[in-house]
Amino acid sequence: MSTEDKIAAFVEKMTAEGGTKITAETSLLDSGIIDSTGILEVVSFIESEFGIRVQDEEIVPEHFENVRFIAAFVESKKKS
Amino acid sequence: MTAVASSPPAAPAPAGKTSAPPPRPLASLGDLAYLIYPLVPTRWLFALARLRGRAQYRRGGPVCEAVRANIADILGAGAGAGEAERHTREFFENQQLQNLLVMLAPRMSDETLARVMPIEGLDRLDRAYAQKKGVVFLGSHLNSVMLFVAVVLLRRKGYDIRIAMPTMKDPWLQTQVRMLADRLAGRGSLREQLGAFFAQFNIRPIVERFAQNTAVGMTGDGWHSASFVEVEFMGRRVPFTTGAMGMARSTGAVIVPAFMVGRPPFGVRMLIEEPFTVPKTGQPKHDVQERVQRYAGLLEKHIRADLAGWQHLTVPHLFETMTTWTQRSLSDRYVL
Repeated sequence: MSTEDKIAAFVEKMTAEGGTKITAETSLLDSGIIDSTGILEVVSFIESEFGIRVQDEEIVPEHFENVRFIAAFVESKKKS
Repeated sequence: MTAVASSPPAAPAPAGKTSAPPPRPLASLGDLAYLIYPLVPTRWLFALARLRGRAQYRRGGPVCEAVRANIADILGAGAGAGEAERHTREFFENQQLQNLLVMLAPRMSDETLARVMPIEGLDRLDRAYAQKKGVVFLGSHLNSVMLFVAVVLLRRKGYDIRIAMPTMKDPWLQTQVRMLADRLAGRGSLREQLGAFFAQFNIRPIVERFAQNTAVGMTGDGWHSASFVEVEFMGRRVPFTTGAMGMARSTGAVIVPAFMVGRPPFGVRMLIEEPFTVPKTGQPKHDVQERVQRYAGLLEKHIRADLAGWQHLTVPHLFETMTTWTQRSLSDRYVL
């Protein structure tokens, strides 16, 4: 599974109540699919799944608007 | 989630970014009040503040028009023009009285502060702490400036309570003169006396405080948020933020609504309402919505009893703005 696929699967499972199909471009924040509490769950997931540490100042909407952005952020963190 | 004393957006900025803090001004008129506070009877200072507010009201202008129109909207057709004018005048007087109080509070002795800011329902806050799951000290934009004073008082009484700020920009940026005076007086800045920390969008700092059984002060009627639910409020369906209830649901933290009512210097009270938790059923949206509605109902009750204290009244076409707020982009909603 790619980074995007793993993140999309996690978000889909997290938002199972809504029954929304999550694609790489699905807007997570603007559409209200996940809120600040959900973001914290996503942060915990990517930290444990990809072995990275997300700093407080990195938890900004630009990095979490959709799965593609989250995956790009994870990849940049892994490289650094 | 919205922290205290945020205001509606004025200018666009990139989502989630906070600009560099503005330069600290050298001095202000408020410094004079701060410096002469021990030398002049407190009532005189507040009388001057009231006059300043009245002058603002008489000058009029777009803000005054917005406040007047919003008040008329809330009062409805049954109220006379005189009643709306009275509330409008009181709004501007109240703003100046509050600003003076929050400026002087750090300089007041514990005894004076306790006299100026009586607290009703402190046992309710004690009961919330006893659950050891953290406390959401849920204020509002009803006299929210005075929430700062109450938090300073609670911290002096030994309560572990901190304010979550929406931005690193200090809404009560102290001047250089004031900073020096605070240091010489042996107290920290207002921000330090509030135990303030930055948390918006990223709620991890708040959750970490809950784990330490800290009470975190925030507002429940702010707008800078990613997530909303519609509730009945002031005879309309309007969106309210879900942040505080969502956090309480996921962490088990106890919600303690607290409302500031009355007028400085000696007519203010903090009313602490009955604490509650957010249930964790299989329907999270319903769980949160029901509790947000409970909070909105309490807020409406207190606003109707103290209309001139609601700081959102300065927003032009307030209810139209509120009802259409969620149609704005996330970046617009996060502008501070």
